[in-house]
Amino acid sequence: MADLRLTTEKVGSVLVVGGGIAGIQAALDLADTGFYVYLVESSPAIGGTQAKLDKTFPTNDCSLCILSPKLVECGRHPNIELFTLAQVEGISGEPGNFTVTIRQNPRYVDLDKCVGCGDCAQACPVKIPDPFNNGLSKKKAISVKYEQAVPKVYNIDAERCLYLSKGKPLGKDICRKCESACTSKAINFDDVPKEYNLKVGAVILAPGFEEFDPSKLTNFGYGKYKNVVTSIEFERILSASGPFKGKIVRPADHKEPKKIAWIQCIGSRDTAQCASGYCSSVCCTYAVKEAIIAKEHIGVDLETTIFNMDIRTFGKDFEKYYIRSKEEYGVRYVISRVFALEEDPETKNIKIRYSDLEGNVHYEEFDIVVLSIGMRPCAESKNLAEKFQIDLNKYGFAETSIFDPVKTSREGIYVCGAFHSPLDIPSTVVQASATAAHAASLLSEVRHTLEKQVTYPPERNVLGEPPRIGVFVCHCGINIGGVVDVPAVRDYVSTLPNVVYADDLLYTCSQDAQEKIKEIIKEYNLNRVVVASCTPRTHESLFQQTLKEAGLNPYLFSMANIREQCSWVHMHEPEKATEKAKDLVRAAISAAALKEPLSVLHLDVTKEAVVIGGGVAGMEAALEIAKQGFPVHLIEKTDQLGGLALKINYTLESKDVQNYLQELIQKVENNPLITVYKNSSVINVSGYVGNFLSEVKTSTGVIEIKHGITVIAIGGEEYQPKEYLYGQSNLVLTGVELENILAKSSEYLRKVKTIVMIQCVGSRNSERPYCSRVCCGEAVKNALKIKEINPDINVYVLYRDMRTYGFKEDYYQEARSKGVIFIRYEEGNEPKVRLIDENNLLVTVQDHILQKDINIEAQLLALNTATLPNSNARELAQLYKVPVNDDGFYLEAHMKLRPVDFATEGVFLCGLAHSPKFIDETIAQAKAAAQRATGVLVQDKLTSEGAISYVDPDYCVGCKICVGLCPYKAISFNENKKVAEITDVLCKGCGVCASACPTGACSIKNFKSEQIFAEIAAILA
Amino acid sequence: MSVITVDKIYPKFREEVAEKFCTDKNKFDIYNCLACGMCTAGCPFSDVHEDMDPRKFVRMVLLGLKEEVLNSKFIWNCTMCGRCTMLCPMGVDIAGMVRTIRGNFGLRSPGFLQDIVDNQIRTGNQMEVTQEDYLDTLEWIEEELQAELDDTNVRIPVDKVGADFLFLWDPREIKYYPMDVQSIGKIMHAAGANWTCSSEYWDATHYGLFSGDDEASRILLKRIADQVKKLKVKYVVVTECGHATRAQRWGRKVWLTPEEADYPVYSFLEIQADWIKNGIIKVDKTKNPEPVTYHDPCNSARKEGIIEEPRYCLNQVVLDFREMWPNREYNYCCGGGGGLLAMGKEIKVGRMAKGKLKADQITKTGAKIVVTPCHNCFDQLTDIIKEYNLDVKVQHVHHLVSNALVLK
Repeated sequence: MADLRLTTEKVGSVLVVGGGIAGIQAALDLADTGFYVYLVESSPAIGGTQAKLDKTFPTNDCSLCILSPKLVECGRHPNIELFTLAQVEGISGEPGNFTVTIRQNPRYVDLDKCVGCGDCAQACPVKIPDPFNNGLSKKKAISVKYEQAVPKVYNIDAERCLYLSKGKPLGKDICRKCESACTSKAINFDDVPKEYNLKVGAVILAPGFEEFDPSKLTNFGYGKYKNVVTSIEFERILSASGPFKGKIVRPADHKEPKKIAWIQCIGSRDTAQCASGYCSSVCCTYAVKEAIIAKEHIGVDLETTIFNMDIRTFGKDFEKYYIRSKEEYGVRYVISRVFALEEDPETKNIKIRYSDLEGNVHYEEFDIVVLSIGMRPCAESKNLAEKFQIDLNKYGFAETSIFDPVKTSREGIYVCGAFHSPLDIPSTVVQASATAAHAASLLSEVRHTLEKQVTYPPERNVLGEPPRIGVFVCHCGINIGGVVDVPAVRDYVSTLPNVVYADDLLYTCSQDAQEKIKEIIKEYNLNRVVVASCTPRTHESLFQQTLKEAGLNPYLFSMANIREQCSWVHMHEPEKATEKAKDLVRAAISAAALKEPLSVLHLDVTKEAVVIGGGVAGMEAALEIAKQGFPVHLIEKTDQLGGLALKINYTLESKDVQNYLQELIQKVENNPLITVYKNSSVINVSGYVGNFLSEVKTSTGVIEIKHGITVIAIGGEEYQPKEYLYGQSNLVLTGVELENILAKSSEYLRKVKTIVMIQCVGSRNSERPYCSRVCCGEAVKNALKIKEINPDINVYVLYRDMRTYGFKEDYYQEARSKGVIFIRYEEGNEPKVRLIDENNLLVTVQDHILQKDINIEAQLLALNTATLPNSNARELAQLYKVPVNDDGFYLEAHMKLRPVDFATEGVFLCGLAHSPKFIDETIAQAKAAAQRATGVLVQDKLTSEGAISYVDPDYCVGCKICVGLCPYKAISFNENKKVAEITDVLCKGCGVCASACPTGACSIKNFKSEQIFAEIAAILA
Repeated sequence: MSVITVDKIYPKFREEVAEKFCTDKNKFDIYNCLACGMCTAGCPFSDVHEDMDPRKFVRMVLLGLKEEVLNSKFIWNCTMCGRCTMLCPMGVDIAGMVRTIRGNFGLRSPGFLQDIVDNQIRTGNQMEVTQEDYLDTLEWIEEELQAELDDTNVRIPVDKVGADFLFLWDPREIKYYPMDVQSIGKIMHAAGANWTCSSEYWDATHYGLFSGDDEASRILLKRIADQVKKLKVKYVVVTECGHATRAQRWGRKVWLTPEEADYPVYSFLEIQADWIKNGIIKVDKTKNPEPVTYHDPCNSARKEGIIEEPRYCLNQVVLDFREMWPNREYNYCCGGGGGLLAMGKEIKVGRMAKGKLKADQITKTGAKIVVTPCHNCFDQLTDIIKEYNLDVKVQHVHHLVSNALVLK
């Protein structure tokens, strides 16, 4: 009998709406796992808000520098098709098989012909405010969105172009100067809107956010007072590619400021004036960052003041960043919401009258006031919701659920980034990977069906050719160029032997720069390339890719780090920094001349996963990997699945955790691809990405598991307090214990009149200088529950900063509206707790507003305690060779852009093992880790490192020193030949063997002794 | 440091305040306070003298320090000008809280504030003007107007059923400033207005707004509503008086039922601006050559949004108009709001200290006339001028309008 089930033929492609970091990450994750991606961006280029930022917190990485490789990767990925200046018009179909209509607006410049030279803009007579610099500078009516834009193709603003707005409609030949100036004949005034119908299996919405417009708040004079700027404008002022080339000046008179103030919560935490009761989550930490960077630019004498209500540095390592800003940089924090700003008409200074916590009124003048504007839902929000038929929350962000945090209300359509909620970059990247996971599991059976294979031009044989070296010296905006005399370095190196070409570039990592390098390689028939820029750690692979695309072996490349090693460390000695840069580039050129083409190995992949930890993170990750079709070994230390979530009854949003957890456990235990090992732990690990071998101790003995990847999701632990009579009086509980009582029985509260909660117990102190992130929300959750059970019970929450970020702020507000009293205490002036009798406690705390001690008689005290890293974290870290941070949480490969990867390939992390977080954040992170892991598992072959070690048997004396030292267990000893031998696939090229070998038998390809000696000789020359 | 002991805390206090809160918004918004300090920064007087910190006041209410709040000086020092919470992110209304506490916890105000309310309830107007004296005054001024305009048809109509609007006076105009009545009557005549006064309840003022006595407030408002029905007028026009405008306009929403409050209320400022704009009255600004500045009464500007109308009038009727800074809804209270003028000597020290801000604002403009459409502000400005020896005089808008009138 025929199968009568209706089946939809699924489509192996995905639509991603929005080309910011969220859309880019989602697109890359999908394109790297066998799907074809259409990336639709409404502006002329991808990059989103991150491209506008100067630095990123908490590492102060150059925002564009870390983004640029991703932009480039997106731009040249064979499985990502970019539609710029485009929006979605409509969608039909069903999950797995949608048809979307895309409308692309005319660019008036041919994408294929334009080389991005800028001659057109030179010729264009029309100047318009540059939106990329928020109008702080002008650009031409024909322009590129920003210098490093992908695609680096110009576009015409039709409303401002003289010909398109005035000439063409009347049939008159006005201007058209760009057309004459363009030697590539790329200008097309007859360009028209185009429509495309695309078949996609899933949709990811990542349209980003809208900057809050403070001009509607007349009290701040934004738009009227020139020295009042928004935080995004200030990012542009800080940026080397910004309106003032990275020099901080006052917009009113271009003078260097001496005092800068930040005002927090502009357009956030404001129900009455802006109808945005939520917290925008990122503004506190970006204000900390902007203050630090401003001090770095101008010097320690710059006075920086941040006016705030609470400093919400709740993210991983944010609290330490905040502490550093105070202690190391002297940033001043004033707890006060500012009423109004006033400009001194003569000096253009901005005057602030504010009240300190004691109630003393102060008057202060600032040179610049930065309004820390919040995130609004994107302008498209309503439109997108209508077109895609998805629900929005009351603020206009996409409605999602706690236990399925990146799914919209419509199946097959997912959301990530700031359209989900106000988010920072790491959370955005996590969500992006999580949406990719959803799309990939929905479409896993049609994976690879629409994938396009990459083909590189055949590799040119350069053996025997004399070196022809091209050198590219990078300005890195002003990161290098602001200190090192880059043109002088360029001129100098062009005189060196073997150099046939030398140039300087503003950002050598940008897409247009890659195109240029490829052209130059061909034009000058280069066979070696040297880039003098930043660190090879982040950028080497990008340039190697460029070499491959130009038909050169990627190892015919050498890099000089003239940023970290010159401009950054010798910031105050530009001449010496320039001399050093010349030395380093000269050395790199000498090394490059001796570089040889290397070949790589292709290794098989064991398409199975090991997930360590059977809590929410581990189970979600396991389930997601299994959904994508790969067997998973889930290893749980205890005798049951569930982890810490077993102790939590409901979330702040009143969602039933146990219900969710039981369903999740069922799904995991019933999934045929998942094998659960309870009472088990990993005791030994060998191998490498694609081919790990883990020894697992189970209740029935030790077993060996071969697997391609590992996800570490071992969770965290609760701090057991020693403070505040905990353990000495049964009136003192932890927050988790209180929650349990509240969930199970209201009887307990029968005799209770007053409950006090104390925040930051065990967190944010010298022993544990991090914020545990969830405790403020926990306190609010419990407070609301108490008020629900009995509104007459008095609830006091003693806090240091209330960190109910994002939409959690609504619950904080609700708690206040129900009469919960919040009292701020300072570190060093902690509340005092004393037992009055067996039923009553006396809590004394100084009220921050009245500045008086207040005695509270309570029948119950709940301590909201720290989340600790798992006590096994360090042990496991050694097995998998992954790092932990100072606090004992695992340290990811990159805090911003690789939040769930370890630097060790093939090992991933998620959940509390990474840092304290809420359950929805854990779920998103678990899915993200699964997606990243799948990136390895989908590959049939992994490519090994080319620059590996080799042993010259003629020199090896068989001492075996290297065998013992190799951290990758890649060296074995051949007993017959009595020499050491390298297992190529295991070698990571770390060089330990080469440095230890007493005879010089071991050496690293690409770092051979003669290459290194040549470098040293060149430096000493 | 003093300690707030357990017995001083009465957590139900905030509920008592919220429940008695008289507002057209959510009563319980006061709970939302973030203690952010924006109010203290917004209050112009928070650093002028002691016991003037609005945030501490809200905090005490929310913490339940009932006794301390009821005994506090703040509740009488506060002019209820509303500047503190005009931009409150949480919609807390401190002026409203002050009013609620003044009126609902058995407190008696300092000075003679309560007497004024009692007088008004008893005699129909706060200055105890008898009906005979009132009608005599209107008649006398009518004659004066006829003489001034040399026209025996000029009328100040009383109890004219079916007139377009009922005009409400400030009793000071009747009792102490009959020339104000003449000035207003002249403008009415020039416009050919179809208006009337009431013989019975004609007092626009409303000290229940300051004392917090909602019972009295309802009685007073109901009297006006009844006059509107009795005289079958289309709307009510309130003389130039800030708190009276507020009480007659906003008060309808909180003290009357929607059916009772079924009539529009305008300030005479809006009427004058409209008449000038539409050419109903003609004016000549050269009649008022002296430099003039304008003081926005908190009740009409910040609370009732009557901001551009008086400016429009002044720009049409004076040659040299100068803004003081800050102005409009951001204007500082003169220091006489909230019934402080009726609170006697004890309060006057603080009232004059507050007035220093206004004195400085006025001096900076160099104006010779400070205009304000409010009798409370008028008296406070007069005190300020005396206290700080300012070379200016106070006038209402209608004084300058009637002086600039071009009659056919």
